[in-house]
Amino acid sequence: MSQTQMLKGILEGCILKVISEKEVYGYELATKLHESGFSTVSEGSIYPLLIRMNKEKLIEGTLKKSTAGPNRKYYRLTEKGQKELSQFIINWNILKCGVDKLLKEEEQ
Amino acid sequence: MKLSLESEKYLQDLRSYLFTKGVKNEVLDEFIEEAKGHLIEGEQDGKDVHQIFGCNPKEYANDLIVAMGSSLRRQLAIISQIVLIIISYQVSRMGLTDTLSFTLVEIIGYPIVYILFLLFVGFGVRISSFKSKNHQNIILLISIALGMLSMITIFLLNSRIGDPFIELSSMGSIVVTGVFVSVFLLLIQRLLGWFGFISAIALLLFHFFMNNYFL
Repeated sequence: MSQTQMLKGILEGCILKVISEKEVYGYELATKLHESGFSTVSEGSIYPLLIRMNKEKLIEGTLKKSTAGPNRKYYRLTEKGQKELSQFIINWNILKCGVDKLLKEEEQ
Repeated sequence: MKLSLESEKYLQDLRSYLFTKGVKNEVLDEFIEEAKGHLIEGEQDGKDVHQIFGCNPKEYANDLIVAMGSSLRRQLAIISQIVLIIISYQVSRMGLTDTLSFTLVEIIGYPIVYILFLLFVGFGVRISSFKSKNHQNIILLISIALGMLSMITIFLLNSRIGDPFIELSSMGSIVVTGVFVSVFLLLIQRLLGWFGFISAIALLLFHFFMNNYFL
């Protein structure tokens, strides 16, 4: 599996995490993800995910005026999104422990 | 802030492609607005449209379609609405100037060629999306030419087999014209709002007065 595919798989959980910290708009979110290591995923790939998560009511978007250009859509987490994020963190920790353990055994 | 020409074209192509795939206009507008804002900031930071949205625009557009949802029903609804506008306009125009009569070609052939024309143009727009301006123009020209060819064929056929299949009485003509005028105005109002509605009335009145008092 390539790094891009692995990153895409967990991108959704990470988007939820970033949005849970504060309301963000698309570009801000993409920049934050890029800085966190998602450099191989194109910035635009967050939008299909945001649209789907919005549909599933995990996040909510509100339009706010911007002086830099068109109105910005700020996303915030819903209660359902908060639960989804908690589940993601549990699943990620289980997966991470398993992978860490396997890799450690291999090193030894 | 203005976008680069490349980004403007990308957004325009993306909009056309998603529209011809049956994505809802409101969803489309909302996304294009968001993408435009992203591109403006990205360009200020020295990125180009391909760095932001990837190098495979069609693949990206298809990812968006999966997320946004599209429906064949919506595509058919748009086509049938446009065809109904054209037909109701034609019948209204004819009915306001003369007693109505229709040939078999007009009843069956005209709706079919209007649908064909829209399909040709729709496919042309979809296929030409994300191609160079020259390629886009050639593809659109071919698709419009094919659509026009099918229309000209049916118009010529109608002029050859011009015998009326249905001839309405004066009263029948008034009733049918009234129905089609109402349908025409209603559809125009829904599509273009009240400005379109008033323009449509003006257009019909123009035909009426031109044919009854000046020609």
